[in-house]
Amino acid sequence: MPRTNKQPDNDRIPSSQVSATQAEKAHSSMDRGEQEKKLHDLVQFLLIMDQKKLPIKKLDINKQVLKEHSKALPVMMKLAEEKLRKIFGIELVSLEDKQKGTYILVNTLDTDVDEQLESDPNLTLTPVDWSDENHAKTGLLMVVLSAIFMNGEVMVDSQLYHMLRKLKVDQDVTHPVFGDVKKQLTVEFVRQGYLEYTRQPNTDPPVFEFRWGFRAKKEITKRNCLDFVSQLYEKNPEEWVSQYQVVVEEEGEEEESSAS
Amino acid sequence: MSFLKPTLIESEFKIMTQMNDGHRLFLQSFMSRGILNAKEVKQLFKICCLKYKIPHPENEREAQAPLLEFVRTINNHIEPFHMQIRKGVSEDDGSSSYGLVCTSESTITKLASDYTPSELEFFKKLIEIIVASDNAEVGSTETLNLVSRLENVKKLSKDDAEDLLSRLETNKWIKMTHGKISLATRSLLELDQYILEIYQDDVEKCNICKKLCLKGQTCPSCGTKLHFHCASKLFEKEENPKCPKQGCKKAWPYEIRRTPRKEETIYSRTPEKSQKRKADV
Repeated sequence: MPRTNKQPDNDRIPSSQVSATQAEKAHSSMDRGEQEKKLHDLVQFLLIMDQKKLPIKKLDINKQVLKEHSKALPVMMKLAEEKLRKIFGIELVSLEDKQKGTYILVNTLDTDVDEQLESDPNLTLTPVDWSDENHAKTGLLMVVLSAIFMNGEVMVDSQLYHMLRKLKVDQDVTHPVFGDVKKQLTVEFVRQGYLEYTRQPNTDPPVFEFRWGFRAKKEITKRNCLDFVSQLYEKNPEEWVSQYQVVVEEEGEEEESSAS
Repeated sequence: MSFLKPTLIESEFKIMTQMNDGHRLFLQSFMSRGILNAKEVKQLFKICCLKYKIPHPENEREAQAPLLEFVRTINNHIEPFHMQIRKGVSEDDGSSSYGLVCTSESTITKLASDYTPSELEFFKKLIEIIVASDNAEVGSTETLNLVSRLENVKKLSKDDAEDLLSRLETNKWIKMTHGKISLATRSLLELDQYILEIYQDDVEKCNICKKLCLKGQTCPSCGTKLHFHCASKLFEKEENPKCPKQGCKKAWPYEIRRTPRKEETIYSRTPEKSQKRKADV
């Protein structure tokens, strides 16, 4: 999935929520060896679980890793966060709202090496390897996310399918690469956190809405989408006045939160 | 957070060379690809250095020592998480590859997230028949029939098995050539301990490199086994190759594969050193 130069949000584990002394006490009550082992198991666990692309639940962390030391979770997560960042270049993000009590990992490392590959014809390796299928799915996702954004950050399902049909991606036809397109959008991408799919109240027959999911919000910037669309239409981003406004606002927020 | 005092973990941290984004990209590449051959590793190192402005010698030879140091730094940091970047050698052509392996005893935890329990069970059965076979190779029919031997897990159809084999090949765990399936270097690297443990009496180690030897040449007299590439090196200048085992020394009856080009490794070595050198980074 696209990685960008997006500044990580400052929603680290909200330490104000948990009694700091309780967690500290629980952590200090473990002997050094135990502390280290649990921390290492935790980091490994987070890395493996994240591969499924589902948010990792506190419940599972306690059940499978911390066990009798669950009270130390806040302290352990803080230490794990540091390890992930320093060693792997991966950010641990605590989710809010509907996904409260879960975590996802977001890559903050810029893995794009186009410049380096262009500089030397002998270099042909892309560090992070994606399958063709993944590339295609990312392409589809980018198109969908951009469309949703350009449409004012929400799009009704019939509208989206209509647009995709024009691109020869039809929800009623099994696509050679995506298979069941509707399932890809409403199940797969939703499960992974890239899209949000909700029913509009009081509609019969039911009408659904697509929005950006929590993972999309962390991994992709609105600036990216606007640039993408601008390139497609060979226009300047500023020409889309209201969307450009949203982009500027988002970047203003980023600056504020990273300054604080 | 001020109330978190640095623990012993953090102070240990400072003694090792710190990781920078170059190391992280290198590591992420291994996490993504699983295994890279010698040429790819050198390229990756160069790319990481270029991107993150780490000085990198132009000359390939001179880049070897910094590359080793680079990998060592990463290995130091990932070791507590039961991860290591290790060198493996192909049993088919003796070429080197470097893979990210899981060193904990919970075998196949790395695979665990990519494959379902049924698929893992199938893979284990595949290892079983490969170990039992003559040349560490099995046919596709025999392999697909393994679906009937799966116990205590959700059933797989033959179509599922074919799809699984295809994925295993794409992810470099197995090789499929001329209708024969064998374990690729990545599997040997990751699972050699597992195989040696579970199949103790049914497998041999190479007499020269002392590593697991599934494909190789066996002395018909005493049963000593050698990798093709280990035999090549051992008998490089020998007119009359003999079994290296003390107490045997019978004529080695096989054709020795002469490697046409110098082996690509990230080490430079002279022929005399090759036999004594340990294989790990």
